[in-house]
Amino acid sequence: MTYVFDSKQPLFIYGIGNVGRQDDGLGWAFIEALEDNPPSNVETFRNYQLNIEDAEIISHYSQVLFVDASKSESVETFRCRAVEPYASLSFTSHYLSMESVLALCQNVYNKTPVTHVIEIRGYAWELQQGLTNQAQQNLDMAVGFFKNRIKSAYADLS
Amino acid sequence: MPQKITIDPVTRVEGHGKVTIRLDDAGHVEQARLHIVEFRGFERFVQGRPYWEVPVLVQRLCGICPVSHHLAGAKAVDEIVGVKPSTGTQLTKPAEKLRRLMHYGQMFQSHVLHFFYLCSPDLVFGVDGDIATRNIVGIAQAAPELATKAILMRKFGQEIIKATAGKKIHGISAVPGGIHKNLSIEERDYFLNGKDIPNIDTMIEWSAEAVAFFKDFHAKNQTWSDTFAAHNSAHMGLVSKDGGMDFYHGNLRVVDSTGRVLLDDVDYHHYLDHLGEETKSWSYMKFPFLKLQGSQDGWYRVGPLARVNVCDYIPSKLANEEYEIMRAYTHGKPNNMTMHYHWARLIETLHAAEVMKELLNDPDLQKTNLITKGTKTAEGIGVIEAPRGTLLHHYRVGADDRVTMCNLIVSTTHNNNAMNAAVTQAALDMMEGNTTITEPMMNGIEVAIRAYDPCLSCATHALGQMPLEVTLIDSKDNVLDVRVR
Repeated sequence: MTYVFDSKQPLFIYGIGNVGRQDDGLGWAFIEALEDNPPSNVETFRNYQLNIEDAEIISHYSQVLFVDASKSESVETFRCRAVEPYASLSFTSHYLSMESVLALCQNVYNKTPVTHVIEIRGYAWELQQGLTNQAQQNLDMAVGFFKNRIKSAYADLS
Repeated sequence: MPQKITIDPVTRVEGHGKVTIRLDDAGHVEQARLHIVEFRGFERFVQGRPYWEVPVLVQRLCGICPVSHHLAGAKAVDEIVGVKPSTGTQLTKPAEKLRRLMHYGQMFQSHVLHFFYLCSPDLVFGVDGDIATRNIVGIAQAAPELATKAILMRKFGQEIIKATAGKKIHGISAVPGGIHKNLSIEERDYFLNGKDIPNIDTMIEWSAEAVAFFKDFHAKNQTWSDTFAAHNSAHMGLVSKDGGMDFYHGNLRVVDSTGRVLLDDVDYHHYLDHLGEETKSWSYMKFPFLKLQGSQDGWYRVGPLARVNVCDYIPSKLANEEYEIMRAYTHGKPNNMTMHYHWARLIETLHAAEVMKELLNDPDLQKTNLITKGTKTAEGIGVIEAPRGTLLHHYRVGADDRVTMCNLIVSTTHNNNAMNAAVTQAALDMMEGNTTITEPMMNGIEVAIRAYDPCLSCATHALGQMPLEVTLIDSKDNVLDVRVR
């Protein structure tokens, strides 16, 4: 997984999910894990889902990291990948893809921040608070991965 | 051989809806159904929780309209702490006005999102437009000014919610008997002075432009707008004591498709006397109906079009002028044209903006008498007009203050029958005589559903009341397999 954090520029991290539906809360849990000891030059935000006004929000940053739960079996524990702007039809009023937000940002604000997503594998989605043990383990790995990247970026700087 | 065309999921609609259209050998539409397969069980989830948690907890129902659930839940728990106008104890004026500001901000941002994000791509590019561009990004490329305004209007509504609810999501400000914070002068001026974001006057101006946008579209596409997915129905909504449109509080009024008043001045606490709910084997969502007319004929619509149809006027100047124009179009009779939901939604957007301006300039919002308490009771009912229509929350609590019963009838459930009627009509409009389904035909079906702006994931009522049943049938209705759990 390739992810390079530019420590000279503010990073905007956007956690997506619903903590009332078990592992759907992984995006928010990632943000909470960082808020205990926030890295410098990192700003965090959380919401149920992406919205059109998020295009305006991310336009103020040169690098963005989305964090969301994943149902995909192809994601073993977690995965980090780059996000490219792409306008799709499949978004709903209650669902907007990060690719579409980025495309909207590009078209309306002429800005295309370097954007990545960390997808963390979840397993249970019922009306219940709290992560499953397995999702918690995946979260810990994802947070560890991110913190290492942050640490490396600042080490390179020094 | 009959063809069965399934559209699953319904793109650009929350949750997982499934539309099934059955054509006969000649290609005639035999049956069209909108299946609701989202399963949430929220009513059971709330049981056992302390009543004071309800306003915060119920926001988990929906990521798009948490404020609606927050306030309907708060109105219900107001009554549990003894704040109920019929008993002589009511919210303080500042508390009610602050809640109203929150609610009208929610209405504004939700309507803006629906129109610009879901509806405008169809109107600008056409139902048969290229799917590569028929979306909000296509709008941004074709009409960047429109997209920019949409984003800023949406942001304005979200900021109103943040200022009144404490935060944009999971607001905590509405508490049993009132609200825990007022609006500071600094917060108020943020919306009035236009220094940081376009101000409320700009929101009114842009809202009026949006109404004009639809009227221009309508003038150019009158036949399609007036007939596509159109069907007769009754209409239900809250109105104020003098018949005005009111999103926050009022009594229920129902008119039929010709304007005959079926119910009027009904205290929503008596909803069980007037509304029944029917289950059908092919849907997990219930089908509400007016007991007066029975389950077969007693279904109705809620939401923007219904609200315009049931009220006598809109209590703000510009929106009322537009209301008069819209009502005149159908000669004062109820408007049954499904695509005119968009027209009504934009008039309501304008109204919400005007009301927000009035409230922002009201000095009551800086006052500090925000909480009222009365004599505690064991039951509370809260009803508001949410963006998608009438939203009902009903709770009972035990001696330990924990919820023992929760009944929710959400807007999308009220519209269940109507959405099926619209889907059927759209299928007849788009598919009659065809044996193949093109992309425009499929999108046409979705256009009909999107007019209602359904929120399928907050349509509860399934858990414990209806088994989860999966039936496999062939084209001749032979049941191949049934699974129930």
